[in-house]
Amino acid sequence: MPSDGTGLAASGSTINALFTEALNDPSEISKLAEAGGAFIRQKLRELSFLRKIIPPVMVTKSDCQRSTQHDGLTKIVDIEPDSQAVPLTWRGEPDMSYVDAPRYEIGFFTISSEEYQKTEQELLAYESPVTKIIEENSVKDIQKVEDEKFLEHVDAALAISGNSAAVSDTRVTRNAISQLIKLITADQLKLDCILMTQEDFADVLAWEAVDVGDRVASEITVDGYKYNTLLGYKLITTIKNDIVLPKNIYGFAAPQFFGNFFILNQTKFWINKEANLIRWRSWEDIAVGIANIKAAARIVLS
Amino acid sequence: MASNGAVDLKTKLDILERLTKPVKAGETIPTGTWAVLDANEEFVAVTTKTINGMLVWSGTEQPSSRNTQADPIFGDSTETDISSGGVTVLHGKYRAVVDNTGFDDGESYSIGDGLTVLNGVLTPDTGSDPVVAYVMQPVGADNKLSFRSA
Repeated sequence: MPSDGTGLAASGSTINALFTEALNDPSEISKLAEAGGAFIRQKLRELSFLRKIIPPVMVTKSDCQRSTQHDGLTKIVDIEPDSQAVPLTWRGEPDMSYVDAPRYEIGFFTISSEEYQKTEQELLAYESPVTKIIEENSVKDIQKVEDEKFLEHVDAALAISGNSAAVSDTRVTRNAISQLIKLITADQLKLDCILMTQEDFADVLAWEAVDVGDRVASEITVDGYKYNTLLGYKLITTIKNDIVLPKNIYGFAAPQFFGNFFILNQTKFWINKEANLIRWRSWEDIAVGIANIKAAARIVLS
Repeated sequence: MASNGAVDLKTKLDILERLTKPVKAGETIPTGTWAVLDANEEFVAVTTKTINGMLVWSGTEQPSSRNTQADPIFGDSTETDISSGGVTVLHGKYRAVVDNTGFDDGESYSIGDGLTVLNGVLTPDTGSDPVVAYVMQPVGADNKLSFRSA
């Protein structure tokens, strides 16, 4: 909710007027940019499902690697070396093993909003606040691409690992979820979270007392399903059914067994005014990689 | 892999449009070559002469272009390319110098010659080809071609 600083909500047109007024003063532009930047980061944390599955790690240039082959930065991450133990007689000795741990490289790329432009006169004619426009047009777009690129990596990993199975259930059931759990545990990993669309989550609301017991069935009837876990696993739902397709339920191991999500510096917000034309955009530089492809699984409902 | 000096742009970037789109999986489009959009709005290398070819300003050798999803632990199966940042091409009027990543150095060039694109690189217009650029300086001892966009 936009505020005028007194704790009272300001109207959209008032915000717009203050916004254009502030842009006439160069010293105010950086303040607006800072305010916009803070606003965007807050919303990204709330709304991106990737950030709930793999919490982002902020990195700086000093954490990254340069190359003689290109102008970009990459991040090289070590992977745990495999090890094993053997039983021995009291006269025996173990085999020698030369340690050779793999590592993988992830490239950073930019996700940017479009660059928006509007004359200050027309902006004043809007009843909706400009901060709302930024929220609608910038934050949502950035978070969507973040999730979209993550799921492209997941689907590519599934294509390699084969950790995807069609189940006979047509709705989300306890049996279907157990199939997902087994896909992950078959590789000696533990399921950490479940991702599904809100559309599929609606099936959970239809679970009856025979599935969840009288108490929870009663709760669902009155308040809906209000727990953050499902069958003991973290539950993440999304309305982005053009990224997570309905009837596709994903499961992931904990981030330390799965992959990496790095953000290079903070999300940036830029705004400028030349004569009466206001332009603004926001962007972030991220890197997403999946190191352990067996830490992701998917079931597809019939 | 293309070196970073494949394109020496002689025009201010702020008067050019830098169009960025995803790169088709499996495509190799180095900086300095020419790319075209396919029906899925993904960049592919120019293979036949077309007026729609555009100079690649940030190609697939850049880490911001794409990631490769592999199995870093066991190395199972084939790797998959995932377009992340994609490929950026230049659109507009500009001058540039490219090394032989971006032109056919088996051909000869004269000032004012029309240039077309074949197999991702500039080559002389044979008279009826779609012209995308004109020669500004003939190829010298440095084996670089200076041109302006059409």
